[in-house]
Formats: sequence, C-alpha cells, structure tokens
Amino acid sequence: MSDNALNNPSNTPEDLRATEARLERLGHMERASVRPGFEDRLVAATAGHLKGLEADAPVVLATIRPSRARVFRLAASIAVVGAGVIGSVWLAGRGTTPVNPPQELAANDSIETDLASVNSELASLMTEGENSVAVSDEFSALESELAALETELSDFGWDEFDGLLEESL
Amino acid sequence: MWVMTDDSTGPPAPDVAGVLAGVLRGDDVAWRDLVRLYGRRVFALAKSRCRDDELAEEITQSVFVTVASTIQRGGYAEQGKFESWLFRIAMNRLRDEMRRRSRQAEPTDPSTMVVTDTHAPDAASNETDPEVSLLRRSISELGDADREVVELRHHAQMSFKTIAEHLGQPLGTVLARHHRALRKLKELIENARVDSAREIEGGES
Repeated sequence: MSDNALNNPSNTPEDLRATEARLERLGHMERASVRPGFEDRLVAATAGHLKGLEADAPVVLATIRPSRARVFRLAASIAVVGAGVIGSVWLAGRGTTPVNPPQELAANDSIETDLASVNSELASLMTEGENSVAVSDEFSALESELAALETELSDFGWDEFDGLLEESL
Repeated sequence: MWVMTDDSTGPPAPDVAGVLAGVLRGDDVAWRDLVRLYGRRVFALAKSRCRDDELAEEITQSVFVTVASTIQRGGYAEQGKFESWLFRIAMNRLRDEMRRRSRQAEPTDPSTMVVTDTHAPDAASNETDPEVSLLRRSISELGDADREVVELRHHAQMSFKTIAEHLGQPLGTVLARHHRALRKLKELIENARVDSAREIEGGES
C-alpha cells in the first residue's frame, strides 16, 4: 500500500471516520489560528540565523539560589549529624577500657596484692606468737643459746688465732 | 515547482526538495518558502500542547532559529528526512517548555492554588465551541505515545510514513497506534456526552 493510500481517510475503519474527521477539522483550525503577520514575523526573526548574521542566544549562567526553608533544613541536618558524630566520638573515648593496660599499672596492682597478703599473714603470726606460751619458751631457749655462743666467741683469744696462723704458714 | 497544501485557505506552496536546496545555499526566498511550508504546522503542534497562542509562536520561532543556525553551521545533511528532523526539534522544544512550565506552576502556598474547571471553555484560545473543547480535553487524556501520533498526524500533517521515521517505529505500529488512539477518543467523547446528559437530567429532576 502506498504512502498516499495509507494517509487516505477511507482506509480508516468506518466507525472511526467521524472521530478522524473531527481531528482533521481541529488540526486545520489550529493551523489557521495564527495571528496576522505570523509568517512575516517568523521570517524576520529567523532569516538572519541562516546567514550567521545573528549570534546564537547568549548563554545564561543561572545561579540556583536555595529558598530560606531549604537553607534551614540543610543547616538542621548538618547540626543533627554533627552532634551525633561528636557525641559518638566522645562516648567512645570515655567508656572504653584499654585492651592492653600499661605494664606499670599491672605491676603495681600485683605488688599491692602481694603486700596485702604478706601483711595479713604477718599480723596473724604476731598475734599467734604473742598468745602462745610454747613459742615464747622457744624464744627464750634460742636467746640462751645465742648468749653461750657469744661467750665462746669472746673466749676464743688472739693466742689461739696466732697459733693457727703459724701452723698454716 | 509548486504544489497545493491540504489547507485550502493558503496559497500554493513550493516544492520541498527545491526549497531545501535553496535554503542550504542560504537563499532568503527559499527560507521564506520553508517558513510558509512548515510554520503553521509547527505552530499547530505547539498550540495543541500549550494552549497558548503567544507561547506557541515563541516555540515555533525557537524551532526555526535552531533549524537556521544548524543549517548555517553545516550541521544538516539533506537525506530526504527534513520533515522528520524539523518535528523532532519541535517535539523536544515543546517537551522542554512543558516541563519548565509544570515546574513553575507547582504552587508552594495552598492559598495560591486556583481551582480549575476542566469543563470550562479554553480561556487561552477563547474557545467557546463545546465540541472542540471536548475533543481537546479528550486528546489530553490520551497516553503520551498515542497523543503524539494523533498530533503529528492531524496538527502537524505528517504522513504515517514520516511519523514512523520520526518515531523510529515500524509503519504498522504507527498505524495500529493511530487506530487505537481514534477508538479511545471516540470512547472518551461518547462517555463525556453520556455524563453530560445525566447531569442535565439530574438538574431537571
């Protein structure tokens, strides 16, 4: 089927021809509704461009200025996000226990624990010693032996020392 | 060579190929002929969408400035598809303008909202014929693809073959879409008439 035949309204189904005819009338009406002098104005406004006599429309650099509400929304968003980040960082720094505590602190803790246990043992021993007669007698005996040894040492005179020295020579 | 347009109101129009050859040489007379050939068709297509005579003329002017500038720069090579190229520029320009207007029309303050009576005559064109108003309203209710075929065929007077080239679709698809659009328009018009008759009956009772 040729292009002309295709464009022939008689090829339209019969029940749609009235609608097509209405559209044709409307299209014709629109084309005829131009204001007087339409073609003359159009030629006058465009012919120069064909010869390059008229520059293309200047480039307009548009600046998008946000509305006040938008600025407020943006500022509020920045404030909320900023506060959240700062708060998170602060809480993280405050609440966390170091995984590996300094060695000095660990040693101090250990010494303090040892000292506390020694002190408690000493206290209990002293208490036991003071209250026990047997231990007191033992102490007395030990003191006597100590005194005897001291006497023997004082009796060991320089003469015996000299004799031993000569023998060794 | 001169041929008659289908608009009986207009004078004989020059042959397209001859006119284009003159335009490509920078001939003023040929440019005037080209404007006579296509100016009203571009205008009708634009007016069908924007319903505003002044804006439709501005859009038409902008389309022809683009055509002239592109030809002057050597950006158009004649391959027998001028009409398809011209109306592609027109449709793109029209879509841009409609998008821009729809963004501007968004009310930010409810007090500035205006209730539009969809049954009122078209104020922009002083439309008083209810049948024409009904047809325009029905066209606006078509889907975008169907509406484009209807407007390119009946307002821009493109042949189905050129519409197929323009849309990059098979001819059969374009014909089927046109029939579907006609059927949909018929239904919309009939339904509107039934609704209108019921309203009148309701008012009388």
